[in-house]
Amino acid sequence: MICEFKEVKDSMMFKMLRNGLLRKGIITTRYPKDRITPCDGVKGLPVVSASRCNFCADCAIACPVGAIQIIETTIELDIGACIFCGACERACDQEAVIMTPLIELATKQRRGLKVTY
Amino acid sequence: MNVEMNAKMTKETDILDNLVYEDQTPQTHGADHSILDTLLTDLPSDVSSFIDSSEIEGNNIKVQVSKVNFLAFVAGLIKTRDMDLVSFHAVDERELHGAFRLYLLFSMDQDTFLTVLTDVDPSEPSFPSITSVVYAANWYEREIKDMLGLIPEGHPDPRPLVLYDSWPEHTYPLRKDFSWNTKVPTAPSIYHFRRVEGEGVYEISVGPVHAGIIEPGHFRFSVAGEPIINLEIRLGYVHKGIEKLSEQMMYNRGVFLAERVSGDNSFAHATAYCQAVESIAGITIPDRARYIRTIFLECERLYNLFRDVAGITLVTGFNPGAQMAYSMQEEMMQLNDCMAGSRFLRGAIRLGGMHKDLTQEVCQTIVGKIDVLEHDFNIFTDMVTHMPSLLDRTQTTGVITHKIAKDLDFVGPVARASGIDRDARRDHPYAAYPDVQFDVITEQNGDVHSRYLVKMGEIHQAMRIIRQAMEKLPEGAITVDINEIPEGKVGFSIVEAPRGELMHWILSGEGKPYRHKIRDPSFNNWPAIEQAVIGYNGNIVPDFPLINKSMNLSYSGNDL
Amino acid sequence: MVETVIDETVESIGSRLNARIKGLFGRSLAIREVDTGSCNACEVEAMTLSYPLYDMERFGIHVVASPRHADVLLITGPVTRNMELGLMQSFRATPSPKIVIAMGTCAITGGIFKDSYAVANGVDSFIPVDVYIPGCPPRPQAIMHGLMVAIDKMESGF
Repeated sequence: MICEFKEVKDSMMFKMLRNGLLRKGIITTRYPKDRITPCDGVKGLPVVSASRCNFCADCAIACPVGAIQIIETTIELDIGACIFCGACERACDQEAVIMTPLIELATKQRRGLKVTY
Repeated sequence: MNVEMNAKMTKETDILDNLVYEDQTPQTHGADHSILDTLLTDLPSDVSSFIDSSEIEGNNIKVQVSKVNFLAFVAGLIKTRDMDLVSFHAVDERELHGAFRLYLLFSMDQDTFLTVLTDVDPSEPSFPSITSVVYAANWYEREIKDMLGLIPEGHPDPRPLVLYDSWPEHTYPLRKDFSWNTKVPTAPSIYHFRRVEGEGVYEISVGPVHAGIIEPGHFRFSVAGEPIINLEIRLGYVHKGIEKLSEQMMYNRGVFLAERVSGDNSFAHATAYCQAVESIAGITIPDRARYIRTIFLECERLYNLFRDVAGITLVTGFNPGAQMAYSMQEEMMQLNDCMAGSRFLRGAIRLGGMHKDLTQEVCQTIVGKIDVLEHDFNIFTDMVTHMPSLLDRTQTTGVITHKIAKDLDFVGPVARASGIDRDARRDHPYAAYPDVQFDVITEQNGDVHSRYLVKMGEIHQAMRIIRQAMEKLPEGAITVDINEIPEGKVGFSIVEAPRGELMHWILSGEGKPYRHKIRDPSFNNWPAIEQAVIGYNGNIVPDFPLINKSMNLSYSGNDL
Repeated sequence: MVETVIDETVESIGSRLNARIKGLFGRSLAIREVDTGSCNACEVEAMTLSYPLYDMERFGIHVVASPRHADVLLITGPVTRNMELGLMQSFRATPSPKIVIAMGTCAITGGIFKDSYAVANGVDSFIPVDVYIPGCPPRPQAIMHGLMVAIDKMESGF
């Protein structure tokens, strides 16, 4: 059976090919070969710079889940309790707490999620 | 390709042209509230004789009646005026004046509200059920019974809503003598499902863990072969005790809790919470913050609607088209990342305004991205509305008639697809909505195809609002500080989330809410599924995933 | 100074992962997802993995309908009272060897719902967890990274 060329051109399959693959190309990212760079201001892991910190504990008070603990001169952050809201970064007036773009944080042990700065 | 298919395709071309558009100019703030002055005098004398006292506060009129006259008053009120039920909840005010208090909240036109208050004596913890006159009050009364132990007398279905299976009797979490972090012991109990008996009738039970990646809920079908005779749903698996948690969180922390009530409507919930607290504190936020909140709300609506449209397309079997729509959702979420640092727009709002400003660069990115997405979406719509197999599956499936939608008080796109003209952005304006033009899309048939068309129409309206808000964005500060939040005052706020209208109601205590009532749109709309699967010409079991996806309800927002 | 430390960490994780994946590329993984009370954001992110942009199926990772066909249990939510039974039944139905992944802050410590009367503070108190993925919600790249860590754990014989 021979189809008319016009029917093939208007068929659903050809329309989808034309609007999908042929128009946009391959959009799948090549993760993990190409690291996907998120935009500026992405809220990932909070990092505390011990040299700038003056141990005022404003960040620990501002944290809604109590993930930051300041014990004498040690700053402990429990990533397993952090909800990545950014309240600690806003509360610190020494700019010692920064929300970095680090988002790949999976670990095999629970204690791997407790970070000391 | 044969001649008949071509003919059918040309007939279906006109579907988009026949959408019904309601062209409404939105109300401005400070609208005429004269309805409040005449409301009480318009009531018949036998109904208004039940009122003990009344008070007008802003656009809300509060009326107090006693418990014995409650049912008669509400029955008379419903007959005289057309009102929508917004909430019906109870507060344990034994510490304040020695009794429980019930709040029944209705919304009327011209952006006005009516609250009916009744006191319940602790020695007789029961109240007359109003479900027989206000059908939508069904689940609200079951929740009051679960959470506070006040029994609705005469309720047709007094089974527990969220505290079933292993919860001991006489555990009432929202009472003030129950601490928020109590460890509750287990005690087994039996939950009775409605049974359908007959020859050849059997039950299919689905859940709580479903195939696919979705939240838990239990559905019990009574079927005879393929056609569904009855469906009963049991939710409450995701009950986390959010309302009780909110009572011990300071207002600043409460914003983060409100964001996590229903994950994909984060910004809408947080906006409603912030607006409720701001109305208690009596402050107005700066103009730039109002516009930025509007832009964020519409961006959230866009990614949710793309996801809904893609979900319906996927379940009818048209996978390539669905993946096109899912890619649009993904691009929207990456745009959210640039705007707020979070794909769900979390952590952007604060009491008194916004945390983060929109720079010139981000504004240009947003406008450019919206143009690209509109072009892509038009190609998608064009392809999908001419597809006979999709039309065959979605038309006349899962019909909800106008009468059922009105009686049971459905909200959101589900209600608009059944002909109910209700949209909180136009009826109770907030943020920058009084300053932008948009249409409210309604359809008349109430089937899956109507919901599909309503959602596609709303995508175009959302893009229109974003463009207008971007053009009119004023300069200035983005936040004001809130110094003091007075105690003992009530504030509530209604916001149109992508799923429908949601409400946060707060009675303020010392630095934290005394009682926080959240009404997610899914709480109103879940009973719709039980009605839709029966429809007017019956539906078969494979139609159920399509109906479920076309409504896209939140389990977490319902159970709280 | 902080910035250079971060770049080095990211590079080292990336290169180790690359080496591992080259060896494991043909390994397939069947996932069953159990929601024990999350707000739905984690589910939206987990569904994004099967969309064209990330497409985990090209690694052989796919979602199955029943825990009996699964290798991996992906658990979200802080384990509410009403879902304890569902979680335990799914865990018992999954055949060994299995991997349990706790995804999202709620599944690790309870998140913002911690200590509520209706919540059990994380999956840890019920079943042994193999991989933890923090985030609220974790981004799709973070979930993929967590799945690679799970494959790594399975291949190295726990």
